[in-house]
Amino acid sequence: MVRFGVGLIAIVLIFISFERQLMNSSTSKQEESWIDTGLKTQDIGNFYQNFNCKSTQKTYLACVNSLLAMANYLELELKWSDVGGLSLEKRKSVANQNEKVRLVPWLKLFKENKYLTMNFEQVWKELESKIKSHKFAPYIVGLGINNYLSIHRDPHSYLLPREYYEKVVANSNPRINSYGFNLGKTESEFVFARIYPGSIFDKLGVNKGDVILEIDGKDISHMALDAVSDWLKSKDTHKFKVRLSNNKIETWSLDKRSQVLPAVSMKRLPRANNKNLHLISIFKISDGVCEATKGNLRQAIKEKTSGVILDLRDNSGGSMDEILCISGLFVGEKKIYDLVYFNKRFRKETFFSEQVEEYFGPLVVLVNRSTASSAEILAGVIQHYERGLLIGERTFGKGSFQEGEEWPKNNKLLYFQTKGTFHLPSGRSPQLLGITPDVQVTETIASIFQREEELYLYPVGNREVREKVSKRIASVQQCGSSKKEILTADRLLGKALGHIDCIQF
Amino acid sequence: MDFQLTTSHFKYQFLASKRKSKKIMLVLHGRGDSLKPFKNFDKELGVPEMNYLLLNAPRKYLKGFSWFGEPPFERTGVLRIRSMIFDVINELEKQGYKAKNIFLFGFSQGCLVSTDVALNYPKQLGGVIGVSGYFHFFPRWRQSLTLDSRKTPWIMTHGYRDDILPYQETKFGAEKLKDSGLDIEFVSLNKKHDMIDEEFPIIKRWVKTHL
Repeated sequence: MVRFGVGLIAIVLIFISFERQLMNSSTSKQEESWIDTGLKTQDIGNFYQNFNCKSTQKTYLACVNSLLAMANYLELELKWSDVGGLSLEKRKSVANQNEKVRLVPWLKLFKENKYLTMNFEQVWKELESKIKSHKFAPYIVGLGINNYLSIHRDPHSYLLPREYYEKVVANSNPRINSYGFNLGKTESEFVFARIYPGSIFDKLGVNKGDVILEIDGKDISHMALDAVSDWLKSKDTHKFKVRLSNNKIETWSLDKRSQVLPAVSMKRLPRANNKNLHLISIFKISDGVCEATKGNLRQAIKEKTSGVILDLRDNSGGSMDEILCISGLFVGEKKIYDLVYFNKRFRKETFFSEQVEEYFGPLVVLVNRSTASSAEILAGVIQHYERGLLIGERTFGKGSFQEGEEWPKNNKLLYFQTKGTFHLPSGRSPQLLGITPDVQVTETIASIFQREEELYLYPVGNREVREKVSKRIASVQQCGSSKKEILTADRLLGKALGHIDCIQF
Repeated sequence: MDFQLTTSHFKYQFLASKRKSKKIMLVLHGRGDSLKPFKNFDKELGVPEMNYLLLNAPRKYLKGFSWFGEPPFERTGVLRIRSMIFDVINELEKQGYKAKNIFLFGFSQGCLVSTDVALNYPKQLGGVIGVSGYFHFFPRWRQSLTLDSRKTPWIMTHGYRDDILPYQETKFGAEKLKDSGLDIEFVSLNKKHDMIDEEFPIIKRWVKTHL
């Protein structure tokens, strides 16, 4: 189902920032997949164009960002002092900073002309010797290149091993060596920041925001986020002590080997008010997701569903072709999006869904700030055609699309390059603005993830085009807000249950 | 001679001043050439209070050297050379040469490099001397000019009969710089794409007034 252009695969993904990779307990597999690419430290030397780090503000920040990322992985810290110049020191604290925040002090040094005296070559040599002896050297080099590209090109242009892309990213039912959750830290506690539907913890009934008290019998509350993350990566089995939202404490011994993470899963919600509701969760838009969703919808219709709640929270997007089909399941054969290329020689391309409508009943879509990219198209299209009600937080705001092709220097790597922006049927692009839901509700656990505008220093720009709220949507909003909120651990789901009663599409 | 550069970017030769001085001129040759023909540059120009640092371009080109690749790689090449020359200037500053006393001299392609460095180096330099040269204007190049770098004085000489780099184009470029508020003197000479004896006294006089 992936669209092939002239040797190109059009994919939309977000996968780049290294904070995400640090906190994702499934990264060991990704690191291993880089080994086969044989990427060497010289490759990054070429990227710096032999230390062309001082020619512009952008090349300077790109070099810094890249060195910071690699040093951080090696538990080192890049420091600057007027006397000693650039140096690498053992990292003392782990600051969970995003790219934008991380670069602020370095931008200041640029403005003060301090960059002129920085000894990039020397620091790189020191770092290079450490990378060479590391078992995941190709991964660290990849990290360096991707963080360079994040500034020098844009935050969503990056390299990814072909094998990892095919087996994990584009696969709808990938087998991975992972527990299938993202770890987050609030002020004093470790929490499940995101639980992939169908993963071990999801099956055990753990919810987003539940607290991890101990791992392998050790209290972890004083530990740093990535130390815990590393610990989880170090072995295949762990013992977890977890406090659930109902204050019940559970202990499980779990094995993370060969877990299957389905991209789509469906749950029948407990019957309430004579309603028979179905919750369909899609966590990424990979090949086969449309077929799976279609199957789930048919199943729901067979079970005489009185309403479907489509959960797109934490969905980081995926294929631009697959989303045409998925959108069609809900809105039918309509215009879905336009692609506008940066390169003015290419004309605007309009894409229509060729999928007939499968489901006509009441529909609520849940979104949050981590709903990104092609998932924003799905949410935006459903909103535009007034096919369903959007509940949750303003979405991530990634409106750029990437085309992946073989990297000319190494055929084991795919280079995803940002080629332009996509626009919803209204002409509006979600880039930086995101999709504003019809009913705005903040999640119970403030998400540890941030949006495009908060994460990156040089995102692709956008112009605001406002969408009007129709009378029909307004009446549902009003009716829903008058209902008593149904109390569930999941606040957005509670709102959805309240509003779905009011929908008569 | 106790002069040494720690940056390994370029081969170089240092010509010490006749009088003790902390003023220095970086001399950049043209494409296909090398630093060799400039070994008597100090005598030819005859400014006794000037040190000279002759730099050799890093890339092999025909029998000589080039500062950057052919189009379409010119753009990245110019950026790279800029960064490398910044390193050299920075090192000179460390050795006690103030930015205000560092002059850039470039012939042809070397002129392009000198002008690019002067447009982007954030501090005021001693001056830019461009002979039979041309420019590489990046998009929004004016934005990288700082209050200090605008103070750097410029002189450019070019021959009417230049058959390699058209006179009109370089003159147009120089006027663009002038319009942006730079202090630039453009001297038109009756010559081809080379350096003639008559222009040494012109440059010498200009350098003397800007020492």
